[in-house]
Amino acid sequence: MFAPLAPFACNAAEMTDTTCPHGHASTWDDFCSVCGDSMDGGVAPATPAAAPEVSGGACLNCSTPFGVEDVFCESCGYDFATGTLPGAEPVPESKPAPMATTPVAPQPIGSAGASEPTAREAVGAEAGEPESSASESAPLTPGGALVAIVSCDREHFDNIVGSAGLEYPDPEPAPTSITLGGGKVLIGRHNQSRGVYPEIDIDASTGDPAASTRHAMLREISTGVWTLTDLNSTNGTVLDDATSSLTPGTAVPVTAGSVIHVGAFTRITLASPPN
Amino acid sequence: MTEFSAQVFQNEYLPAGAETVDAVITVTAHESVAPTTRSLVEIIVIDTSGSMMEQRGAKMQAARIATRTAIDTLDDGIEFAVVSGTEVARAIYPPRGLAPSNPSSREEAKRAVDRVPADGGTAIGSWLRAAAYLFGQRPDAIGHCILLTDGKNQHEEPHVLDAAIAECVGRFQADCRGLGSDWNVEELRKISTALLGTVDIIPRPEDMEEEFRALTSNAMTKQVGNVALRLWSPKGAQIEFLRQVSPVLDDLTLKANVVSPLIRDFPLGAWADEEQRDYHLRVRIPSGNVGDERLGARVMLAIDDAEQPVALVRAIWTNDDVLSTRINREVAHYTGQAELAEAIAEGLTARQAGDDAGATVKLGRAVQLAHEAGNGDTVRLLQKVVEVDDPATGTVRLKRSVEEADAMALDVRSTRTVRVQRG
Repeated sequence: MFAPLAPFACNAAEMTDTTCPHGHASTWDDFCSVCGDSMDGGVAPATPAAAPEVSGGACLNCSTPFGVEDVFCESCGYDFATGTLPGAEPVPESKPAPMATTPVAPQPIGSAGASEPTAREAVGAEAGEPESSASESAPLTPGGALVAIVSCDREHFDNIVGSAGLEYPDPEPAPTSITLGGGKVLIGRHNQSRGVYPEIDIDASTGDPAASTRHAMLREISTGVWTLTDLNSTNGTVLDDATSSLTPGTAVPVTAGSVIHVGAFTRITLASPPN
Repeated sequence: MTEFSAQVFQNEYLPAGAETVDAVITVTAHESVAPTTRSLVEIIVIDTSGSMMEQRGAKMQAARIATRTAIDTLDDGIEFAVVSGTEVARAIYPPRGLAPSNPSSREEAKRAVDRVPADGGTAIGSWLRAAAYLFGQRPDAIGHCILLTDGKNQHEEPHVLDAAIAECVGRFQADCRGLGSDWNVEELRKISTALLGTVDIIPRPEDMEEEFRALTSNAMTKQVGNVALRLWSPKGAQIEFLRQVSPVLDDLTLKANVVSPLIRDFPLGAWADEEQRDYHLRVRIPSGNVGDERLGARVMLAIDDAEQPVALVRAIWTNDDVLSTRINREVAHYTGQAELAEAIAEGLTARQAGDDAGATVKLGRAVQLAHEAGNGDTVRLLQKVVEVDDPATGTVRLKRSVEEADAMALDVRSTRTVRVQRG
């Protein structure tokens, strides 16, 4: 199995995924959506894995302080990269999805093999930093595979206040099981015109209309260590028994046994793959 | 839904300190799984000024035959109108609004065309306004207009025409045709450029029928309207130019619509399935350190409000001269084609101003460039204006007597390019 290589090679981009080497908040993870610099850098980022508390400045729209990793303003939803407000323009939602493989565009040089040594260093330097709780859980298998079981959750649906107008599916679709290979796994709904094809496609499983096109991202940041990031979804992402949604753009650790709720009735349970 | 793909041709390696990134982007529209039901509105505007009765009515007769042919070419269901243009615009058919094409409406329209008299002046702005009004009845359809004139815009101030063009931008596309050699190339080019269409000369009345048939057929192949090339470029970047370089040269730089501080939309009009066009982008970006890689542009296609990511234009700074001095074939080819068009335009201007020496130098250079690029059509057009002694060195002599129509044909067709020989 060459599994360890792939996740490691991806890590340089993963770690700086929302912040480029110059500290810009980027909506893309191949090149910075502000300055255009390669997210792989070529050199290790000056401030690797900056703590989310570090201030990135104040929102130009509402002056709320934001962290350097934030893509959108938590208060008003202002998109720092494009300078637009939600609803004002289609820009935030229609940003080119990293998942969408452009049909003929060449791969960025250095996205894989070339930056591998850098990637290893970066991972080494950051091991046990913000995701320490996650890294305590022993690597599951080579490649750190997880299985996501996508099902409908009546109880969650009934608990949501204001889901008026939405109907619980009848008959209830059978749970779907998706093996997560590693790297990045997008949770969302496919959108052909935007070129978004999520690995965990809510349309194909529960059909939940309250999930966003690009809803949340699961990332394997090191072998067997996974995080979950809400991508400024319309209706939010809830982890385990939390009473409030995740802060958009901020990664939180997840492991086998984690339960993720998206949309009105979709439950995603993470589990170790059966042997 | 039409899907677009793009291929980027560039040398992404730049020497240290360089800021200019050049790329040729080939965009292709792919046949969609589910065909779109986007409808077409076709409006034919024919000049019925008094000058159309010259040559004992041959021009007007040819215009009638050509318009009849265009009407016959329309598929059932397409909504259409025929407008007569003098110092005002009048409906030929239908009497009001648009008519859906079917066997009986086509017959009625052709009878109306046969009866239309030719008498009056030329005010093209009023024709465009009438077309815009008619297209306005079907704002969601792809609007295509054929505009025929045989004369200059004599009965209207230039600023009135300019204002009419501005009103029509983005509302429909117009292919403009000039009959004979008494019309003004710049006037029609101004219209066709703003309205994302083509301009050409119909030297002889008898060529008109085939031209109208081709224009109508081509308009009916369009599957998707309102397409825009959406370019993201990094902070501090400047788009020096974006020009369509194939099938014809068309500078789009000034047509940019600002979407957000870093994103611009360049309207491309309607596309047919499997249609392919080439664009040359030159963007200046802040230079990086040796070893840095930076995105010069992210190329997307925007259709109405949906967006498709298609390609990346990149820059990598290097100390390796072997890499950075490599010349990209596509970029060089289309740079040469743009220079060719410029040499022809400058040569014709010099010729008209009586500057024979300047005209000889410029048109000689044009012959040389067209010869190098294998652009045989342009070489043939040039040969009607100059005697070519040696195409390889661009040695030419101006012809003493030149048909005005030949000089105009060279002018309007100088923007036609040939594609790079690939493979």
